[in-house]
Amino acid sequence: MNSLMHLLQFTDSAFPVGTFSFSNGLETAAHMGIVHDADTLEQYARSVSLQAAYSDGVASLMAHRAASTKDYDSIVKIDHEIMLFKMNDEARLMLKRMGKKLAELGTKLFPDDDLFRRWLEDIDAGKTPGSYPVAQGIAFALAGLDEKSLYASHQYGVINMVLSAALRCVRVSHYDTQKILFKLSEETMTHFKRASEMTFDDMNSFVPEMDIFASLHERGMMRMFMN
Amino acid sequence: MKAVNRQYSDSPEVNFDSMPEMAPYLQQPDAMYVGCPGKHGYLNLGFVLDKSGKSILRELDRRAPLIVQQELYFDEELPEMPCVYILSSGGPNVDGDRYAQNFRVGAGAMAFISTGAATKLAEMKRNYSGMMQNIVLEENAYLEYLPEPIIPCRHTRFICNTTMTVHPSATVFYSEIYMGGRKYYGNGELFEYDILSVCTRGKRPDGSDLFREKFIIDPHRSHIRDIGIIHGYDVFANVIVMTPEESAKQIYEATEPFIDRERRLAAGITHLPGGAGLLFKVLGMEPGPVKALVREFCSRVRMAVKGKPVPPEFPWR
Repeated sequence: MNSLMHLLQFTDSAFPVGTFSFSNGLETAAHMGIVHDADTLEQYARSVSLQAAYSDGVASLMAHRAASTKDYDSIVKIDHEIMLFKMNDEARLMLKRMGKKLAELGTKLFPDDDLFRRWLEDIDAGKTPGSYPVAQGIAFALAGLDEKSLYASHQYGVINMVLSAALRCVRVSHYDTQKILFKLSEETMTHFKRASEMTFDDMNSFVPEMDIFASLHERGMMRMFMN
Repeated sequence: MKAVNRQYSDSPEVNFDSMPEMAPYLQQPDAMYVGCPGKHGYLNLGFVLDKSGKSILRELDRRAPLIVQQELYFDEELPEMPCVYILSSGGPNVDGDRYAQNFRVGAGAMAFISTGAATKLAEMKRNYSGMMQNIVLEENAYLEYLPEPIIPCRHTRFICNTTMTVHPSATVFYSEIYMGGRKYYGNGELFEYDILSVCTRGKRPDGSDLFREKFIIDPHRSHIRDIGIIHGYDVFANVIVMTPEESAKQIYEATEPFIDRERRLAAGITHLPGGAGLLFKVLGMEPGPVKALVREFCSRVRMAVKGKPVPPEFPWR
């Protein structure tokens, strides 16, 4: 019961890590008229989910394993590895902002455990980047939640971030976004099976058009969102 | 990584059998076996400054089917730069090919490397074609790697791992252009290959890691035509520029990302992690305009680093 409640809390869009500030390139795609209705939004949300599934998702699972065995050195290594993989400034900024927020919150939620406190000190000292997938891995391990719950929550967060942004910049209704979320959620378990067997060497992502949207956003005038 | 039960006994130095994405493609080819002579080539090129301060190709070691003939000095803007074209005497890459390419540019030297024609990746039935590349640039070295496009066919399986070890003062321009397939063959063949797996790592000479980009394109499994991935485009170019921060800043500012929906052409630029340099991506419909954008971008890089533009492409290329 406790763990189910914790899962809901960590996955809730009101969980204060700042997801509302980011659109993952959707703002540009919408501005260009490329994402303009439910069908195009579904495609875009699926691409965002796919991108996270085999990169950030893998890092969060690896961090969960490291945190479960209190292997702090591995946590720092995973934190560095995921940042080496982030190919644009806004993506790196998003990961670090949300990671640090969750680390700060983590020290309050788990006051008796040293892991988050030590990691936060190292983030502040510039010794580790403090990425969000790693923070999630630690939080789920400390709350006694399993890998499957972590992965589901991670992917849910990514998809929901785009869909919430869509309500503010694409002509879609709540019905549309909920239908998309429901559908993409059903595809998540296939990703989990593959992602749970991956290591650093296997992390991959292929979203060239999204990368171009991100590049335009980095230079762009439309700045409702931070990415 | 999981151990894979190998189904053939020869063991070339270039081996990707343990990569999970290659697991379905590990049978012995029906024709020549994996790693047999002619399917297991390498190319070692070493460029250095000679005593008079001229860049020369001092080291050239090769095994069939990869060939480089002597260096030429045909670049009108940088006549002191040795230029070489890589050829493959075997024709397209086939089932079970394993290639290695090692390029080294010594301190202060420069070089231009391209291919004589597009690299064709043939249809594969049992195995895959793999390539390992090591690129090393010493202090103040400069390399332009600007090959012709890569054309995968139906059921191509190709994996390429590249490691670039670059001194903080050096510049490497590394480009790859991937066609969606033999677009005008028969009724058209686009994204019918089985898999392309491409990984590029950037490092410093002290061993520190700067970035790692890996993409796996498996058109039969993923929604490749979705918005955000390849969408409606047919050609994709990926360009990595490792260069000192000052030139990176200049190149970034001179490069405008765009999406031209009429010409169906788009390009984006971003900073690599670790202050390593820049990443430039292009999407388009035909190789011509994509090649032109990549070359234009190379010219901007050369201008920032060497103060000279890239001359216009030869009319027959």
